[in-house]
Amino acid sequence: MNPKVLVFGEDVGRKGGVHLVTEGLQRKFGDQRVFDTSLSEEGIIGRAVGMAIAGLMPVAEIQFRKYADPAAEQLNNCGTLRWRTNNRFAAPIVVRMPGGFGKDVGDPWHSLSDEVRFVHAYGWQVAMPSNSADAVGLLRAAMRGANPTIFFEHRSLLMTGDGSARYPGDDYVLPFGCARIVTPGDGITVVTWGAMVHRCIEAAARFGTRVELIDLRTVAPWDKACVLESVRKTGRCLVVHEDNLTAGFGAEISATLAQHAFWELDAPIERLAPRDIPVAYHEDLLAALMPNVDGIAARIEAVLRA
Amino acid sequence: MAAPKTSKNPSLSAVQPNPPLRWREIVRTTLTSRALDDLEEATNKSRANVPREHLILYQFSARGHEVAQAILAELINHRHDGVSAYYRNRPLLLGLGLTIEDGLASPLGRSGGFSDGRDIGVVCNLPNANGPIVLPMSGDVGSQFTPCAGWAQAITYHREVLGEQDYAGAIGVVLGGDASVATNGFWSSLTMATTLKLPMLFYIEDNGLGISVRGDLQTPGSDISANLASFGNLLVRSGDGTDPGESATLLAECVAHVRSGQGPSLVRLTVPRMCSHSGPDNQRGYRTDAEIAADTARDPLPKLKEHVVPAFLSVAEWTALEKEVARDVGIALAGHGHGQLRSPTPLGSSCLPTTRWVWRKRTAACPVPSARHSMGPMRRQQAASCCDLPRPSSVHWRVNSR
Repeated sequence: MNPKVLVFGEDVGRKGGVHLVTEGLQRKFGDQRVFDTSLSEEGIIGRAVGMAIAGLMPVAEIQFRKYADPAAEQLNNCGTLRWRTNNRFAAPIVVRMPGGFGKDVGDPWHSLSDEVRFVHAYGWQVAMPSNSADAVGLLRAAMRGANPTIFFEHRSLLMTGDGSARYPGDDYVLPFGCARIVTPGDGITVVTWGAMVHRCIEAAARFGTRVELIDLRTVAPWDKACVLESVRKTGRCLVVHEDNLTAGFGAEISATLAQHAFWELDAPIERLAPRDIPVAYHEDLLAALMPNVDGIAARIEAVLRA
Repeated sequence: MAAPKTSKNPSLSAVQPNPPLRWREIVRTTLTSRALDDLEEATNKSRANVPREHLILYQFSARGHEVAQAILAELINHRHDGVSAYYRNRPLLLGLGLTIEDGLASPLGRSGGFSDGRDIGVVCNLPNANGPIVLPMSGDVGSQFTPCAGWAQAITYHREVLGEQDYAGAIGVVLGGDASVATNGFWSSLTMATTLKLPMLFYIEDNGLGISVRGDLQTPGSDISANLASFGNLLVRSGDGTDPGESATLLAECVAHVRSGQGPSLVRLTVPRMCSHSGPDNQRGYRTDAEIAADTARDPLPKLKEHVVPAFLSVAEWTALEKEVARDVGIALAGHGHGQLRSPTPLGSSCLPTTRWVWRKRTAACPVPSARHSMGPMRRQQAASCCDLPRPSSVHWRVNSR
């Protein structure tokens, strides 16, 4: 174990985190390595930056994505730190940040999934794993990497076996920017990440081998080569994500495909995402806003027929 | 030699710097800072008829703030001390080893220096691998505080968890102006430092203005030290930052307190702002002539001379230092002169150096498990792409000569 790794954030110590991701770590590693912080997200991230420059490997937790708002200044400054000092300094911290809708509930405060905000920020790499094995491999890569990382943990996955049960072993490392082809197919490429992967798997199953489903795993960097190769093969593409439709990451993927795979397309590129509406609390309202299995299947069907 | 002038501040303790302050170096730092400000105020973009090769695009002066910072620099002398500062703190950096060449190169936007021409000239940093480090400044006021608390907590971690005893006595020092005490970062770091009893010194230089906004909108009564009098786990001191003796005594006491492990300290020193906020700013739009004159009359430089001559330096030595500094600044300026600083990068090249270092690029498809557990200040890296061209070591290689 690397003794320079520290884990900290609100409630991560004695309680083990409100998502119980750090449960038992303080008992095992002591309260100087795994500790609670004051309720100041700016303090959590700024502390991590100072510690990283001092030679430590901080893994900070922001309890919910929305709570990173007060830390925006420190996050942005961390991302530009290597560039603006011409590589004299760097602070490759890891920021774990749960977000997205819960298993049966949403709300405007704890359920944000606006990953594109961090993709747009300078200097950050952004992971959005869809399962626990990927999470282990990507977290390990992030901690060993030289760039700061937003490690987005989806709340609904933290509450399921997919999100928390499988441990792939101590040597498992996944590189950033390497997507996974979840199911191979020849009629349409469906690109997604995070919790939407599971809904897309269920929807794709209705189409036999027609759907090539790609889990990006990381959105900064993202695996352009994998997506382009797939779309050049299938000629059709649907991007599904939980972030806003407008200027969501699907827009970036679509623009890339339009530029580099235009002549291989047999149908317009489609995106399926919430229509720029905050996440709602009641499960019926939440279900109406989020892409669901039936909606994804219907859009796949439409693109296949186009 | 005669004894230096003593202060009338009743809160002064008997703590004296150990080792004794090197007043010659304090004078040199102050004079150098003042000379650079003289030069830059005369060549900033807002002035007419500035030689293009000496154009300062975005100029900030530390005029009036230098003496106390120069004294503080003398007290930051532990190898693992870490400083987090802001744009009016170049005097401190000059005292910690910043060369005049780099101090000039960055405002001129040349390559090398703090940022290779990427950042404002007074938004500094100083890696100092074997000495006190100055963390990268940020241009947004208040953001300097919490990284310093992180540095201070790391000192404790290095010593207590990793068993690195050479961290004993090291401190984090954060500098801010009177307006910075209104920021989230100030209060966040104050909470961290005091609840955890971190080895951290808050140095607040109070010039009464945040650009044009008076201090009474930043903290009641314009005095953060008075308002923090009852704050737990915090040694608070306040005094006249234009009085060298008083500044030295207060700073020595606060630094000694923090180094001893008794917890954080905050010192507020009042200083004059003898200039507009920045090059584009015109203080006559929001200050009266009388207010400006009052600050000019509080210039700490004559007070420094009065303090050290003849107690520590003779008149001849002071004069010699003035000439030495003028010579060194002149040499540095000539080195940055027209014709020597052209970019070796062809115009239109896709390998502009400015594209480097947003990322540290991966060198393989999969990151190899690495023994790199100590990040530290990053030194020059090996070339990793076509854009990572080897750079000459000479300070005269400047890409952004205008």
